[in-house]
Amino acid sequence: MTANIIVLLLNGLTLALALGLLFLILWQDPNSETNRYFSLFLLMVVIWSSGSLLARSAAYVGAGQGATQTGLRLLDVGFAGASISLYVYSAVLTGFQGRMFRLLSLAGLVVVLSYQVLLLVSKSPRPYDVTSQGVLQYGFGTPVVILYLVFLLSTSWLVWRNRQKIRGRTLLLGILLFCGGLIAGLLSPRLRMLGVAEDVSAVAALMMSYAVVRQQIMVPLLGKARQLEAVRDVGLAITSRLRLDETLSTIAAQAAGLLGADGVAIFLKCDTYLELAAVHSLPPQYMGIRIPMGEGVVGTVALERRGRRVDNYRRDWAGRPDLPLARETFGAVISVPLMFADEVVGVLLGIQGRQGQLFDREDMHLLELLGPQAAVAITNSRLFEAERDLSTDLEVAKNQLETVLTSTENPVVAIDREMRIIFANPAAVYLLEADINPVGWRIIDFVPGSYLPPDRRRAFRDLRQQRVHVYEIEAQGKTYLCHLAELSKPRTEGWVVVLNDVTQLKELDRLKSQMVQMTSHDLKNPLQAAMSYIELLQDDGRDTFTPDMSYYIDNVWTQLTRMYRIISGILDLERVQSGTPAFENCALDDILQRVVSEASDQAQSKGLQLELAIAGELPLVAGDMQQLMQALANLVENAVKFTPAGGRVVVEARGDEQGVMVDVVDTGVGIRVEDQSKIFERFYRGQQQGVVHVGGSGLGLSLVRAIVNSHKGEIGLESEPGKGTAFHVWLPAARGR
Amino acid sequence: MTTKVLIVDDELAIRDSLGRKLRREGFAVTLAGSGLEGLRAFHTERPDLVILDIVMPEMDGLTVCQRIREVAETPVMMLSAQAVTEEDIIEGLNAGADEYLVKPIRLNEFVARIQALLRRAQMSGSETETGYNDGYLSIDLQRRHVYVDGQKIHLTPTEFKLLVVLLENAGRVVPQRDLLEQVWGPEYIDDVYYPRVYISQLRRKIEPDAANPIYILTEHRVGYRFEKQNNV
Repeated sequence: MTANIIVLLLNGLTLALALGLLFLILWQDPNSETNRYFSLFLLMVVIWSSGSLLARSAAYVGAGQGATQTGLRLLDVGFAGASISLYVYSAVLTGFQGRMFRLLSLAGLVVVLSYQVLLLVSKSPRPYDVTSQGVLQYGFGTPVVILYLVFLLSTSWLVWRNRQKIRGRTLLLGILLFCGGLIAGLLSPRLRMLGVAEDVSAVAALMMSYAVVRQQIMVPLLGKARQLEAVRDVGLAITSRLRLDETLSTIAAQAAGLLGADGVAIFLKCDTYLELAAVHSLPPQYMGIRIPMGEGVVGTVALERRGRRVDNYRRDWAGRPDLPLARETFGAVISVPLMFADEVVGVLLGIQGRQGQLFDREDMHLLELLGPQAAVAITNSRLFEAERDLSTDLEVAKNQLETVLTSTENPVVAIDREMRIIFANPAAVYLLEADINPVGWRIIDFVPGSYLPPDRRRAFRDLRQQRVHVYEIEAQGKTYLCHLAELSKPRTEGWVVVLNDVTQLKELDRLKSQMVQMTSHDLKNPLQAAMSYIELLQDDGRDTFTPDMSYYIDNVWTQLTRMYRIISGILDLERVQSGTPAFENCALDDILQRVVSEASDQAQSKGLQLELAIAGELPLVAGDMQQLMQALANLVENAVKFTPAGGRVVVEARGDEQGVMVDVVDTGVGIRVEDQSKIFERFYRGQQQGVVHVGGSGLGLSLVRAIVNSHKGEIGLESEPGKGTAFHVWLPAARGR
Repeated sequence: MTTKVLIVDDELAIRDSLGRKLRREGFAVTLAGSGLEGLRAFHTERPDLVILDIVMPEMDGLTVCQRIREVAETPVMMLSAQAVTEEDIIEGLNAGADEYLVKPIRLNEFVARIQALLRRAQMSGSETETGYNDGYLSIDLQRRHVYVDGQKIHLTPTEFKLLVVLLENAGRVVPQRDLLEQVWGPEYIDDVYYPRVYISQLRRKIEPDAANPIYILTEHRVGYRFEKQNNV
């Protein structure tokens, strides 16, 4: 009696709740296929429950047979519908069915229901009993029982087999319980009489409804919140400028949490391969593993630029395993490319263990949301790291440079365009006798005028021509050679001057000059005496000397004059190098004419052709006429000296606004290539093939170069042994008056 | 009358060989082995020309030359082994020497230079012009006298000759080379520092302010010009 009342109450409650949940689910998403099938199932449960309630209540209160019959018919319709629709729902849920299956199942449902409705309409009686306590007793026909059992057992088998695919244990348990309750009610009349089947199934239906509502409404709502949180965390990771490895770890952890994955790996793309850069819940030893593009799940994803899911790694993935022991340990995997600006920057791989859940489309959707954020974060971190590396490198380079500049004994000062000091090393500060940091001060406030370039106009000209301006200053009893150059060409940011202490060099140079002078003086006096006596001897012995004696005397004279030439050469060189030439306007054509006419005797006596060709009018050259004449005479005499009889020496000159070019071209013995670079060195004498007894000091060409250099000119040569030599001398034109 | 030449050189071999050559050429030669000895010989012998070595112990050639210039306008020829730079030569000329030769020198050239110097010194004022007088500067070409602000001043033969050449070309620029050729002789045409030294000496002697000359003006890199003045 009491049991019957409880059954009735439970039935009523179940009905109300199931109705409520039906509306909730339909309201949530009427287009979802599973929702529709579940609603159908719930509708059937409602019909069944209401039928049961009607029949039992009618029996209990002793109402007419019609009401009880109607209740039992409804119960039958609901029972059949619930069994079949549950099977269809389970099949849809586990993805077991094909299109035809669904059609066939629905057709079966329609047939069974139509039959029951037909029975209801035709009012053919349904056998039942009512006990003395008013409890309803009813049975099922054997074929119907078999039909129900087939559906219920199939459903149980289906969901158990595919239990991994069913989200939420409650749903799985509900379906199995529902089936169990129905089977029990079918098989045991006593349990049926007690209404246990209805009760268990009603509770199971409630569990299922709860699971569906949870999964369809609550979990997505929670998921949305977590997605937002994940996106926010990734955003934070970007803005907080974490290091790349920290950023990756953060992303991996968030992905793992979002997916409920057992492990997450993030690969970064480097050239043609992917390198494992971050792991979550995976062995850290995996870090650094490389997978070529196109291989493994991640390589394929990176190449196809599309996400992938694999339900069973061992069964479904035939390609190269992504990580060690992947086949043995991985269950389902999910992988998405991380794209930034249409470029794959990496790949994210989510992994479940062998017993873990499968990944579904929702997971893919989540990752697709996370992917771009992660890609931005990775790119950002990479840029940030690159920038930090660069700035570190710059800092290091700056420190090194500063250390060099600080430790050098050479004063270095840099100024900006406003002539303010932007750098002064300790040596410079010491030299300036500054007791405060001179940086920021105007140079004229801080540096004595005598330290600045004495010839400003020339300094600016040199700097304008992208050259270094060199000048000398005296400071604190020392002599400094200053090299002034522009900072950062082509647009001048300022200037830098580096000072070299040349005091000792100067002193050495002075000592050298002094020694040369003393030596020359000491040598010249005996030379004068010896030469004078030889001349006297030649005068006296003109008539009395034997040919041998004359020959000896002549040879002594030749050697003395050679010695004299060497001494003069050294002195000339010294004079040119130590003094600035006395500048006057020199007409090179006059000089060349005199030089050529002076050498013509020698050329004639050697049987050479000596020609002078001056093209047009030559500009005047600022210089020391004596020195220029000596330089050109040396070149012409050299040419004559090294050209064999029958040869030709041509002196050519041509000028333009910039200067005068003089070429001295001979058909002489030439200069070997290995000698050409040394020919201007002091005392260097090339090996001239086939030329013997050519007297000389080995100083002629070094004097020529010294003179040309002191006139800011240039000298060069072309030569081919056996063919001849051409010396080119260029001298700058004098600038106005 | 034999021309008397005094040779002062601390190197016996040099003064001996040079002396022998000059004697052969008909000069009367006196030799001195030091600066002091040379000065004494100058006063006792009254030579027509002095040849001076520069580097000598006790008293160097430059000092000897200055001492001689204090009392006489006798032509002095420096003969030195020391000359390295132009400054050395100018220093010698500034000391009052008329000529600066660098050792070693060929004996024939040595004799030729002596003769040229003597010719220059003996040159008589053959010009018919009376000279120049603006009240401050007065030049008497006949008597070879020069007065500045009423005071008679001493000019060496070379200085006088230089002044005369400039005066003859008054108002015109005389190029350096022309000046060298006319005053010193064609063989001096390249010794460009001679005019520079002599012009500055002349300016010191005749200009009211040697730093801002009004008579002898420099045409930069070309030559010199004598400008007559109306009222100084």
